[in-house]
Amino acid sequence: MRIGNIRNFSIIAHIDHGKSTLADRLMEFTGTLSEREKVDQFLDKMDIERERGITIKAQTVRMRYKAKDGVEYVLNLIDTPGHVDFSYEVSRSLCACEGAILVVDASQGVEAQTLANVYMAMEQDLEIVTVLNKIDLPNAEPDRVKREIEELIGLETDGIISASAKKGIGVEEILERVVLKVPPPAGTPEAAPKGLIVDSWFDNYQGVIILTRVFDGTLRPTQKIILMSTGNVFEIQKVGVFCPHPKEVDALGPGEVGFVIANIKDLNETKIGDTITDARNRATMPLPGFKVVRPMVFAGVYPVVPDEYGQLRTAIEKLRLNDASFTAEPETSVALGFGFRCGFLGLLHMEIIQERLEREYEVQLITTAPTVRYKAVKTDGTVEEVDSPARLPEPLELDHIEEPVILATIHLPSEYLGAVLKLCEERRGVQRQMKFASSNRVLLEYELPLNEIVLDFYDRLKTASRGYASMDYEFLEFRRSNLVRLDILLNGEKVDALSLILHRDNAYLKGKEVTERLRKLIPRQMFEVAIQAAIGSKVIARESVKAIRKNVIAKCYGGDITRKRKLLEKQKEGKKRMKQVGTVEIPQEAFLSILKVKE
Amino acid sequence: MRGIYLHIPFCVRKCSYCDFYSVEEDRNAVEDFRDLLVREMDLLREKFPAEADVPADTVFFGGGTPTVLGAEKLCWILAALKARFPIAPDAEVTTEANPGTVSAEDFRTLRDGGFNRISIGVQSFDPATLRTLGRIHGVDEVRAAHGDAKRAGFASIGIDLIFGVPGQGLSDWAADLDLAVTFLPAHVSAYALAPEPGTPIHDAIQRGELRMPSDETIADMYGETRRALSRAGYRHYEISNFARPGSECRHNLKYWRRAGYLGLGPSAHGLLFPPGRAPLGFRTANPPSLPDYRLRIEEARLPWGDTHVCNIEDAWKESLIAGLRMVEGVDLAEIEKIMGPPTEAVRSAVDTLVRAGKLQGEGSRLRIPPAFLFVSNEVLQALA
Repeated sequence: MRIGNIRNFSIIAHIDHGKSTLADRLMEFTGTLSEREKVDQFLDKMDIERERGITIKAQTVRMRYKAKDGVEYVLNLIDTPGHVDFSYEVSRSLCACEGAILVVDASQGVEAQTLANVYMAMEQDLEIVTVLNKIDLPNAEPDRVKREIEELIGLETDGIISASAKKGIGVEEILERVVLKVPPPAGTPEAAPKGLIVDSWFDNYQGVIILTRVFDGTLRPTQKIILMSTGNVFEIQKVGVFCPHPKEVDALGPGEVGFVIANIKDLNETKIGDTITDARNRATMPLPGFKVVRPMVFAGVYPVVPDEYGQLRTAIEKLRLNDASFTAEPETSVALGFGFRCGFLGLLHMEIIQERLEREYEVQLITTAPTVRYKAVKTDGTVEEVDSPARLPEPLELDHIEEPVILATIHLPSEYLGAVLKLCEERRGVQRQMKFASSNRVLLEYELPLNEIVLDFYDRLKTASRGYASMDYEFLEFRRSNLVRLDILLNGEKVDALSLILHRDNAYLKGKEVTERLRKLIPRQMFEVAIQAAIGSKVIARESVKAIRKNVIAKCYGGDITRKRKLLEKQKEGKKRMKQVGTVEIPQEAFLSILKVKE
Repeated sequence: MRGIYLHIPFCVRKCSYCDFYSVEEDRNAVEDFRDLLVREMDLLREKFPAEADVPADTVFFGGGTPTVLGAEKLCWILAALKARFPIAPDAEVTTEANPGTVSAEDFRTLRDGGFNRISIGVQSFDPATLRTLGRIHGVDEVRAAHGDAKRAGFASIGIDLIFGVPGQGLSDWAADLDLAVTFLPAHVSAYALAPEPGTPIHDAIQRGELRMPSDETIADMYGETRRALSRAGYRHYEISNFARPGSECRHNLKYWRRAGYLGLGPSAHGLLFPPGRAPLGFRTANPPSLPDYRLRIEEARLPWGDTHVCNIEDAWKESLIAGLRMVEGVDLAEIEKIMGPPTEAVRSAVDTLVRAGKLQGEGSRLRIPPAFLFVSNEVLQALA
């Protein structure tokens, strides 16, 4: 294959702006998908992806397209995940491309998610092909949206393509533009091989499948390869491409995108962003930008029914085969029994894992409030990493706590500056930089404690900016901070799964909020329930749930007994998702609700 | 020994809160109803002679308003029953009676015809509450009915009361209780109103025309009931039932003790224990519709719609759910003697409840602490 005829690109779009539909149309137009294979949104394979309209795993499709210049091109569409939790994965996907199609909904305009990814694409010098989608809608406002693209993103809109992916309008024009504008990949077949791991996943029959973009050299079966970050050697068994179904090929040359199967059993071997090279003809330097992805957010995951612990363990093991970025270690809670402390990339990742465990493996879960990993410095000078409030050393042994601080980069239109600054201040942010990128665009840099942003910062940022602000962040350092553990006591007994670590300044307000919220969530029961929030032995807030006064079947005679038993069964069913802690029944939501910010 | 329940599905007018099966009286239907009942008795004798020969020591005529049939017809039905089934000479024979539908002479007829217990549906003495409940009588009719029954020689008279009615306050209810005890009835049933879907009172509450008293108020009313009646010498023996010692309703105790009973008439339920075939219980349920009931009888079929053979789990759960309604609770050893050991699920549910203090155990006896009777569903649901 001639490298000059390859075009590698991705599609950048906000949720619902038509990315998947456009991908389907491109496949149809190029004949990649046969008529009978047409399933809407072919790229989003997982149910959860389809339902949430987001892509979690990267996917690729190779299409052949005979352009108007008479040449047949190979077009590789590399689909990217789209959420701040997965920004590193997005950056690696974009890194595999030379261009990107930017899809903007002509009725909705430019949105935050688009911005974050467009900026990332521009930073990586990708050629951008801008498409105004859904122009057929009656409420389309192409002129306003064009202005937004110019002002918010800083892209020229001359020659912008008007399209309707749904109706197939503009599809050919897009393909022509990609061929014309996106540069072919560079790279030499003779050089030492370098393949970027864009993504990888586990297949029950073939082991780990690596999705790679070859930059230099060639990858082919029987070749011995080295994964550069680990130094481990494997032998390639198969290479191939997705069109969109997997198809084996003889080799993957420079500029090509495809899969590599090399008898790898553990997904931990194949880290996204790592470089594949030849074991006998090693590249001297790996491809730039590799990072080891570490979980940022930790939470306890417990079965609602204690008997289901075994099922949960199996489910977690299976899921970890497919997602190496999610970690799990056994943990025991006084309140919840046996479970796992799991690590996630972010909150969305956590929700997805939780949903998959519940849906695919049919285990009912209780998830505790997510927390970040702290460093507890003890009086004897030793340091413990703590990812569960319950495991914080006792106050007497504890000298101080250090918390992870990140550097957040936020782009936003200037009209929302006030609201966003306020949000950052509330979250204990320290401003590093504020500069105007254009007359109405601002770039903010803030140092923020990670525990202030993992929960809902991203959502709040979007609310504060009507969705126009975009954010990216990187880990900065651990920093000493005045942190305390807030404990929740029910009828005098500490419920370990409800403890949380937070800044002392926020503790009183939070204690009040949490006890109030629990009062509303915990249903009235046979005994009064006293809810207390305490720091150490000092109670800082209290509430109580009065005992229930009436729940009775007043009349029950012969004929009624079967019917009344059904009524009782129904009541019992309603309590199934409650967890008995000591004498108190707690609804599952309670464990997560304590971190919700005031409604 | 078992009980026999006969359902008389007629009323002068349907009350606003009632969800028992009844139709407003219709002369023709009333006329041939007794024949249907007798044919049902005969069908049972024919098809299950062994079952028909199980002796009974309680008979209960409920409804509806049984007295709508007239005292003579009720006596005729009772005689027919006695002619077909072995009934102990000292059996408790009750009929429900609504004030205003029974004369002094009727009571005498009933007494002479073999009835020895009367349950009067008073519900309230307060005109406003009676109106809300859609009752057709007033205080004077209650006074008359009670007096007439007593004079006719009924020693065992019970009255039914309802509390927690929209518009009723704690003091209104206390006044009802005070008035009730002045009649010196042998038995008092006091029910918290439970508006069932499909009843006019339920709909009126849904539409916002009536408002239920708060659960706090209703619970206070219940507390007041227990205090006022125990002061007056009544023993609290079931969630909603109070009696002078020895005057407990033996028929109703059978339900709570999961003893056998035969159900005759539309919507009546039965629990039989045919030896060998369903030693843990066989439930019958006649159709809650007079035409359906009639159709079956005319086709010479027993009208038992849904029958159910109880397994060990049903038997234990029902024994506990019904038995724990009684203040004395249940005797686990007794139940085990009859049905065999409980299932693991039942055993562990009981243990959990005892540990949590929601059930009191003493030897093999188990009961709901009296303070929790009005929240007993919280306990019983774990056993359902």
